[in-house]
Amino acid sequence: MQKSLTMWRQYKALHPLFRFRKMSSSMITFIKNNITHGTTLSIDSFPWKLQKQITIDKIIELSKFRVIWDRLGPMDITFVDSYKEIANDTQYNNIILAGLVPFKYKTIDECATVIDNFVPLLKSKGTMLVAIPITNLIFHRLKFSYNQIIDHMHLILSKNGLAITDRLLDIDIFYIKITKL
Amino acid sequence: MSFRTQQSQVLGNKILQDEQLISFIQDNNINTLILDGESDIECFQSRLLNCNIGLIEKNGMLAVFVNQLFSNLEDVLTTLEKKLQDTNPDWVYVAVNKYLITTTQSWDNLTDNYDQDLIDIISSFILPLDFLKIKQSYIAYDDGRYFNFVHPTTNAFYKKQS
Repeated sequence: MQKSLTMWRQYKALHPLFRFRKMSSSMITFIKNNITHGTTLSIDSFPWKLQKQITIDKIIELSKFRVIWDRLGPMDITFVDSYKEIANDTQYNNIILAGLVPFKYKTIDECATVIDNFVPLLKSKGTMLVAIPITNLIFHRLKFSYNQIIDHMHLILSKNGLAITDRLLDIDIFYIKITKL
Repeated sequence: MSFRTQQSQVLGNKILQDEQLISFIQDNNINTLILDGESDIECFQSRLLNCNIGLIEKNGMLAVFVNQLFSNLEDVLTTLEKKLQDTNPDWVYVAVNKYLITTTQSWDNLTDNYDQDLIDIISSFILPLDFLKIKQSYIAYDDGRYFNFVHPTTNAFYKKQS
């Protein structure tokens, strides 16, 4: 019980949807404004908080955090050991990728690769809503501005048929809307 | 929870940058020290029994730690310059958590080496005040081993020339 409480506190403290009330509300507003009609898949995106706002068809979380979700009560969550294990036989109109784990301590190029990995799950013209904590990104902070970072990411993603179609730079988080062309 | 306590919990009791600083102080017989931006004075005092912490006299060191989230580099440099004038140390140590620093201006002559650029910019403020850079250290590629908020610092040591 103590372990689950500790993990819950750590996870909650680091997750973009929980860090500060103001940021949390910016993020939910960004998601609500940009989500399109159709089906929605939530990956590492704290569905417990999001489900009050939008309809989510499938929830995927890492099994190493299972103890957290058990604390919150019954929820229909598919657990995977690694995000690489997600079956891509079903595609969704929206994917919400708002958590910390996939983007933890990566370079811009590595973040773009993570996003690419989820593209098979997205329908054509579908929308992926991504939140990347800036402090977790590895980049030369004197050389590149936040806008340059997003532009660089857009350049990488466009090679794989994706486009960044909206962005919101909060105090320490990039919110990005990605559309599959 | 202080930066050092957080670091200790993640990295263990022996923090490389602390060991470097303590060895440097001992090796150079530095006898007075101001720790700026570092609240764990007891941690250093217990290891530096021959060094008075909290003041700078002859052969004293100003050690500046920048570990606050969203520390603005321009503000850090302005404050550093003022502290150097106020304390007039013989030694200076500057340690920056490179993942927590931000900037609002464009810097010239930057390379692809973020750590070296950071040290060079800091040095450009300290060297004209008659200091010489003695040594520096950083971890350029950590391979995700550390949480950013407890990442080992990018740091440099300086000595007054005259």
